[in-house]
Amino acid sequence: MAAVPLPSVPIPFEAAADALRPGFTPRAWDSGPPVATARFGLWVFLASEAFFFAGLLAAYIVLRGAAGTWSLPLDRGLGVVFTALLAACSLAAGLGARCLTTGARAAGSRWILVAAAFGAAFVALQVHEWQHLLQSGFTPRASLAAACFYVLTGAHGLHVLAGVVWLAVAGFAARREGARTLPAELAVLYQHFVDAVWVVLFLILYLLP
Amino acid sequence: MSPTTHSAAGAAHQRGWLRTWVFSTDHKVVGIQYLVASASMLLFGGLLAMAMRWQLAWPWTEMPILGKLLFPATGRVISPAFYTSLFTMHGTAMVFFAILPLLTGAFGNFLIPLLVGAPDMAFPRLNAASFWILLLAMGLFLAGFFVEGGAASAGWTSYPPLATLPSAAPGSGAGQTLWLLAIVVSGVASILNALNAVVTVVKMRVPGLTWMRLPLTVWGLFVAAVLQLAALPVLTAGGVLQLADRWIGSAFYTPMGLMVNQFAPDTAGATGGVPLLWQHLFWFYSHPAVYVMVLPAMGMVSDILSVNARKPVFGYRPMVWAIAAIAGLGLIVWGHHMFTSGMGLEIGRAFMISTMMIALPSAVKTFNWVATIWGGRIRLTAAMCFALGFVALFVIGGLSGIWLAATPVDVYLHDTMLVVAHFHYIVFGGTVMAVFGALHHWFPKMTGRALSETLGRVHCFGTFVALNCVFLPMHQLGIAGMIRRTADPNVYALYQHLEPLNRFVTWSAFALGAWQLLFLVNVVWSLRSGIRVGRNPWQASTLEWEAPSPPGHGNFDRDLVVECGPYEYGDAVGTNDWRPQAKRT
Amino acid sequence: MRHLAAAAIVLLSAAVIVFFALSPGQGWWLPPAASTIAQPIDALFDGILITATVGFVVVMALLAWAVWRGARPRADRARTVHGHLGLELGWTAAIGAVLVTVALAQLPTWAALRDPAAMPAGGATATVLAQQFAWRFGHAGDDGVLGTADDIETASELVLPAGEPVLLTLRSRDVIHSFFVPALRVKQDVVPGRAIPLWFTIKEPGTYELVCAELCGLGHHAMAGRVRALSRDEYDAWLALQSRARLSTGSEDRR
Ligand code: HEA
Ligand code: HEA
Ligand code: CUA
Ligand SMILES: [Cu+2]
Repeated sequence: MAAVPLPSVPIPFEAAADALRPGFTPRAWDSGPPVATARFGLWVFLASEAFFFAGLLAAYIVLRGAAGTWSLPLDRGLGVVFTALLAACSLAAGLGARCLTTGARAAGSRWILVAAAFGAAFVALQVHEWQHLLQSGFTPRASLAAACFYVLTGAHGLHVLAGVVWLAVAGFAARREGARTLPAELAVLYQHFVDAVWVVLFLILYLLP
Repeated sequence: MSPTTHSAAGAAHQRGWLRTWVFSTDHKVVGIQYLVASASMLLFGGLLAMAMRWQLAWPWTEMPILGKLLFPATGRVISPAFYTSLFTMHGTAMVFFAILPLLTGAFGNFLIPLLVGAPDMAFPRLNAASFWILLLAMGLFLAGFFVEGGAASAGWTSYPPLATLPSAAPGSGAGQTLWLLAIVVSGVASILNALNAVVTVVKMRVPGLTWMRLPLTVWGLFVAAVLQLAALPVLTAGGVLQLADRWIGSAFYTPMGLMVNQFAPDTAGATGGVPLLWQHLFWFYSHPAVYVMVLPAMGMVSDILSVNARKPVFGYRPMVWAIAAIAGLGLIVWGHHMFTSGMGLEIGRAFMISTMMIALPSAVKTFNWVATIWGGRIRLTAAMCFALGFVALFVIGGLSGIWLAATPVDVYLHDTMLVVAHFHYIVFGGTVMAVFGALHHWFPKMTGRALSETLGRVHCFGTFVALNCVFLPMHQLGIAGMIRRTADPNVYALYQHLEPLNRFVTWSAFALGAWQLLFLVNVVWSLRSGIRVGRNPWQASTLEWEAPSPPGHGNFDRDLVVECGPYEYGDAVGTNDWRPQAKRT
Repeated sequence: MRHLAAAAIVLLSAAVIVFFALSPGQGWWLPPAASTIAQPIDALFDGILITATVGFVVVMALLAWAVWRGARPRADRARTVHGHLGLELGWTAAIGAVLVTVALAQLPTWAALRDPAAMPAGGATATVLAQQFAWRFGHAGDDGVLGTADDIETASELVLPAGEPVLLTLRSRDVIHSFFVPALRVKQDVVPGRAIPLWFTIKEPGTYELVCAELCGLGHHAMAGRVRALSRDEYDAWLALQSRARLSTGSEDRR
């Protein structure tokens, strides 16, 4: 087997590397859709996140279908409060994003910090609810329903926590003149998603049983 | 984006070795990091396979040299418990830490920006992060060998309750916990990686590079990334539930009233859990995952075939549609892994039919490959040899899949060695052959030097022969009823006459393993003294060949404008027999 | 080079076919069929084998030929062909038809295996209890009812009547196992928390090995058992003997 005995086209292995064109700065092109790359990336990420929660919910449905009894001694009133908190959070975040896009930095970042506060309140309240339930003997090993409750709210709660941190950091950073506002806007988008997920959890955990 | 007037190697002088090769965010460096890490895992998984083969040929006999190092405790003999860990870790290492990262990580990172004319991935830092997260996952995975009870031992499929109850198997203690963590963490890495791939392909194509002008390699990698984004989170969810069962005492997968090793597991669920739930969540991901392990390979093979046949890919659009169809159907066939789990009549029917249908797009691709080289001017480069090998072996692996898809036949063949034969033909005969081919094809672009063609062909033919000797007889073993995951086939009178076959397979496996070292030799030798190449050693038309070899930071040193499809070869494309995608300026 | 490449493909195909052709003679093939369901299953197996062989030979022949012709040295260029709609539609339709046919062919047998309507009523029944790493079986005692105090219990050997449909109920005590009798072509996972029915008809009296097919721990490879098929009268005699033995010894091995 000689070097490379090739038919029609011999491979010009040795082809001299033609001179590089010095001082050229390669460009990154944008082939649409007309949104910031980072924002588009977040969309894709959230789609993937949606599948994560879909997986958990599918498991919830299967387990619930298999189980004989299914009791969740949850306080609906509290559930409403949770929902209200996250609604407020989304609202404030949305306003903040609006302000940022219209250039009102100070107001924007203030609203976003308010949103972060609401989110923080949600997490704090949830921790409190957990403590209460655990003391009342409603532990993960008590029943499948309980276990599902803790996994679902736990997974969601961690997402809220992440959102809060992101909102706080990005919202604070956005106030400085000349700072990029996109991170804050993305944090807001993410928070909207997390809040939307809560609505589903509220439905299946607090309302339906 | 810094100027591109220096190659990665040149960059070393300016930015220091560490920042160039270790803490770099350049997609090419990250890709090569992925390549080294996952190739090492391939090697490691291969070594585990050698140990398994030893056991299956000469059960409970002292292993010559390695035995002393590996299992002094059990008198140089593989213990039953260790055998279960062996195939569990082999399968996991190969699927999650070798093949998936090789395709989506190594080639995905290295090729996607080059093939779409982008200076880098969309999110370079995220990209680098994904590699380090994967490395962490690999660490957790390997740590399993050193914890009490040994590595996970419930199979790469980790079915509960065997996997979830520490009392059920030694490896189901700390080992299984580490296994789960490794899977979840590597999942995070894969998601970031897939995210990057999708965004890069959608947002960063150079002007003129429309969707229907993308090389099939990009299509394969892109669709594989989409599959990852859709299916992987579901496995993560399942993994979270398994971790919950271990950590917070829930009983998602543990039914009531079990007696394991004389005592009941302390998961006092008021209502018992559902073991089959895990199987659904696992296969909802792991079936698509097998297509993630083949779609990019198919794409790269299509490119290699076309370039070296000096002829356009036959039926480009059907090829793209086939990729899409495989991915789409791939999401609704997972049940074919569970035909014997007590699945109902209608559901079984539905899963069988969808599974049969998924053979159709694969068949279309096969015939298009043949038509692509039909009447071509074939250059039998090493890459081409591997690509041809891929087609031949994929067909064998695919056809045995039809047996398995047929529910009544699968009732007999399920969990026999035929299943093992089936997927090794596709995964080693197919994907790994494609990976070797792709390495020969793109190594010049990665390093500026070509791998030795002669050594490459020798390696190819040897591997081709050896792996057939390894995996062909496995069909017979399975048809004769020999179950998989058995540490000693001779326990059953039924299997004793299969011993010669098992021994033959093992000898062949040793040959196969040893032969792979040729490749390592080739890599090492070529890195130092391989032929230096120009930008386009294969006279290929896709964009990566516009860049210097190896491309500097930022890849390209001129603005590219694409004016034609990726496969313009033959007599009707201009003065040469090939026409570059990028307009000549 | 091209000789090698084309030869490799041809030799591979030849090797595959020859090896498959020789295997039955070596006993490296489906074990002798001992149940009524075995015939249709083996027939489907052969049907797919033939279909696949045809597909395989066609593809390999075309592949080898394309390499052989294409790789010979020549100066001219290949024709720039981008595709051919007719061909694409043609082979899509052809393979599609083949696959649909294959799929439909499976349905009756699948129904015979799984359709609750096909479940034998009355007739012989027994319970199977799988555990790490042993099989235990239960037959109805004199009262003819399963799960009562006078049940007959056996371990590792399941005695059944030949020539008539039998209905088993599979339970597991710990992890997932799988009830696999190669000669009978039946395999059913035994899933803890569920009682899964399994039915078949053994043709001839005889002893058939029972294999655990689902990984169930470090003893999985050794979780062996037997199915012993007797003629109806022998079976009745055996039952009677067992119950008498139970009464005389009064053995109470409840779990
Ligand atoms: C890259 C990996 C890969 C790929 C591509 C495939 C492809 C296919 N697989 Fe495979 N499979 C695995 C990896 C893969 N598989 C793994 C890892 C397992 C085991 C997991 C475990 O349990 O550990 C498995 C297990 C598995 C099972 C479960 C077996 C069991 O456990 O009982 C089934 C059942 O339906 C199946 C079917 C198929 C089918 C129908 C295809 C089809 O896509 C194949 C289609 C291709 C062709 C058909 C060939 C080309 C076509 C022609 C040449 C035209 C002529 C064809 C005809 C005339 C029919 N596979
Ligand atoms: C996905 C990829 C993959 C690959 C490539 C392999 C490769 C091999 N496998 Fe693997 N195998 C699996 C996936 C894979 N396997 C899975 C998922 C299972 C099921 C596990 C379970 O049951 O839970 C399994 C199970 C399995 C069994 C069944 C065990 C049992 O059920 O009891 C056996 C038995 O022979 C086996 C053997 C082999 C052999 C001999 C190879 C040989 O091909 C190995 C030869 C390769 C090498 C020696 C390394 C070569 C690599 C290099 C030299 C590095 C090259 C560098 C670059 C590429 C850059 N494997
Ligand atoms: Cu019981 Cu395997
Ligand atoms: Cu599958």
